[in-house]
Amino acid sequence: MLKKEHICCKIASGRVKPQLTDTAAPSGLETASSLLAVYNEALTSGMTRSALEQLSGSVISASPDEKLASGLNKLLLDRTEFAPAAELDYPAYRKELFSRSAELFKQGILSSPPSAETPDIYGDLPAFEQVSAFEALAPEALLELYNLAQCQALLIYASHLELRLADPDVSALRKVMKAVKFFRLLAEFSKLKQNGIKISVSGPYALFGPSVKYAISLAALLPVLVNLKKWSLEAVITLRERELKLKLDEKLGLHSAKRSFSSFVPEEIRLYHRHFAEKSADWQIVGDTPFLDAGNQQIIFPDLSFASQESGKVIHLELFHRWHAGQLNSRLELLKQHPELPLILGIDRAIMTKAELDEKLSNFPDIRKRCWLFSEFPGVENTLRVLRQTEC
Amino acid sequence: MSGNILRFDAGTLLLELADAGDFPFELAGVFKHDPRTGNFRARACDYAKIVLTLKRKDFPFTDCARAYSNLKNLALKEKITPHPHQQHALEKWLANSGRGVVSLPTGAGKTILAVLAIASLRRPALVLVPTIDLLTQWATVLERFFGAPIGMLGGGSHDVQNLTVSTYDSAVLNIEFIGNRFGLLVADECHHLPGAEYQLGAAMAIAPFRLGLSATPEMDEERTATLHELLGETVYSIGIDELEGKVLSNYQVKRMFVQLNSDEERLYREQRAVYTGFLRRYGISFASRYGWRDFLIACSRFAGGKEAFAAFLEQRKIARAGRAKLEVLEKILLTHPGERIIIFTADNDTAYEIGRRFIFPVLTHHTKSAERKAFLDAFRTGDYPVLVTSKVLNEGVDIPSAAVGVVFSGSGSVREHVQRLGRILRPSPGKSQAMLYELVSAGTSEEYTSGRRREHRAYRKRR
Repeated sequence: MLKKEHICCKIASGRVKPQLTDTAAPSGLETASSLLAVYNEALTSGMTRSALEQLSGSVISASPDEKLASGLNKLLLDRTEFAPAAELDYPAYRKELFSRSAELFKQGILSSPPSAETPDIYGDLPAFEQVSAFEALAPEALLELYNLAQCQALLIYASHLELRLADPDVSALRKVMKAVKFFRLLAEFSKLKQNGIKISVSGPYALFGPSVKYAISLAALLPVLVNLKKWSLEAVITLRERELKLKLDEKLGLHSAKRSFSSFVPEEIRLYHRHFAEKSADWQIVGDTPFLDAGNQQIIFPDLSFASQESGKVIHLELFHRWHAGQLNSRLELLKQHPELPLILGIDRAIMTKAELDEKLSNFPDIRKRCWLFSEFPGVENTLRVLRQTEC
Repeated sequence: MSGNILRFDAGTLLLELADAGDFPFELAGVFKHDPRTGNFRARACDYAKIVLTLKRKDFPFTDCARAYSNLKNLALKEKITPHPHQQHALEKWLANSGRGVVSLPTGAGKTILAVLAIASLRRPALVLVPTIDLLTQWATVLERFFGAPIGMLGGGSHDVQNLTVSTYDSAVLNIEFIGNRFGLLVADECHHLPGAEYQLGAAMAIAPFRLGLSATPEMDEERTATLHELLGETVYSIGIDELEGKVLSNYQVKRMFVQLNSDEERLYREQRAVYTGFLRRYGISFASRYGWRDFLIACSRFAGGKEAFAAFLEQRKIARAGRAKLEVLEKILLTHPGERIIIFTADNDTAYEIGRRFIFPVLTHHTKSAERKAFLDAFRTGDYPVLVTSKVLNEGVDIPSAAVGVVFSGSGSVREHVQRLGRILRPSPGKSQAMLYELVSAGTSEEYTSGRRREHRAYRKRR
């Protein structure tokens, strides 16, 4: 992540615009290549942090664009790991020296500085640590990463985002919503006139004023967005004690080299899919789950969808964990009003007890049998039981 | 169970109403309608106000927010006989419904006061501290007095118990999950709390009882208002001078002006001329609130900026750590052979320079936890009579037997200077008087910095 001093932006008429670098410009590519050469060499030779800083510092000073070079260097440093040089047990070495100097001091004598031949007593400070790992990348990819990081560095000063997805397909919406859920944010939807969706994203506490608590989560949504076809993002950021409007969209040509968010499959989900396939003969998990438009600006993004082998009926499952517990109540209300929705709910026991759920749905037995409680992750048997009850 | 439910949700409170028309209008200023979830949401810290208001008007509701029970069996394992000022502070705090800030000098027993507060309320308690050193220190003290497992959040630990100590940083990260599990919130060194992020550690917790502790709670109006809103007003305050010779050691402060060596003085003047010339050229004044920011921007944008910044660093380094200061330090050390001495510096480089020069242990944020503990233990036992540190010992860490402090260099912060004095005031057997030396490079900007940091009653009478 870039720091405040690395931000390159233009501010005019209350708007802030990131100044991105041309990823094909020879001068930028040369700076990126030079810095990458330094870091690759640092890994090969096990260079110390201070030597690496000196060497990269000289590349930065010689660069025609020092700010760009300094930002690239920060991104490379984030991809570098250091480990202490292990030739000497420094704590034991120091203990011996300190014990000796303490004895002398008690006799009114101060120790003399050690000779230049002996190891530095603080030779294990970070400056002396050695490069132990470096995640390399190509110069073009580094410049693309820099442009993305420039935009994220501005989003760190936002407490709320408005996303607009024009003509979104289901998988695009799912990617965004999965990321919103993953980062424990809340979203409010509204439809745009021309086949699009506006999603307002913020954290629960943001209702009470701008909060920096969610800034990193908000900035982390950007790599998910930039891989979509048509998107825009608006935010108000507080920078240099001014409120500024920031607008980003697909025309900036941002790219994220990271794997698509949706391609990451947690272990428990992978196991769930396997067990479901093993245990169920009458139902199967179907591929891309659509979103359900429940009307009145309510859009539901189920976590899984199931198709009955016999009837072909598709039923969707939405899971509620503690980090989006606030939406459960409105979903139960929705099911009461729209029992025709092909939706079942799995609810984390951390957010609702059986007694609470029974009471809430005491007059709605048909809805009650479509909900069940789970711990950590829903079991396959319970899912099948609820699916079979719901289909009847 | 009532159809209306009060629920904790990620550091906030949700009021789920069986009938939306029943919203209690007395709480209109506390709850906001949340269009994202379609219900009413309030800050978790307003829990006490909400519950009291709903109960007062006999509003039927089920409290699903509170996830803790009173600790009926919690009792002190060791008897504590409080000092009169501790007893008085506890009474004032309890009389204020168990809310408020208590200001006690370092060494006057803030931790013991918190132990007494926890024992009187018998509620699960979350203690917020600014550093890892204080995290382990508080956990040790609580375990000793309550004999119960103590949870820790921070420094690699993630364990939540009825009595839990957390760093402010870890609290901000975890409070949305644990903010409903404690009835009492204790904020140690609570002047940190009003920071933009740290305040969330208190705002996103429901704890109805709150105790703020600090030796130096003075701050600007806005931060004071935030502190009082989150913890309550200052209910008790007592100064160093009022406890000196009773609970705290007698002390002397000696400011020593040190002449720079002639070559250093020449270099200082040269570098300062480059730096101040740049300030004049671009009309930058450090008297302005934005002086430092303007200077950094100008350095990055204008011709001569790089040189000006380098000159600024060089002249500051000479003033803070000139060779003459090292010579004076040597004389001071030889005046107190074998005594427990802490040497404070403004930066890590100077601390390590002193450590290398005299072969002394240096404690900074780079010191790993095992060695940090070993250094402090050896200092307590007297095996290592001298410790050098930049800022990590400024606050809180209990060092009972330090008798001499040397401020080799420091910032202009009154808080830092008072906290440093506090490090040597804890009484111990055989300690008749504590001594604080302050070394100031004569004829440099340090004279002004030193003047600023001494603006406190603890120093005024010793001028």
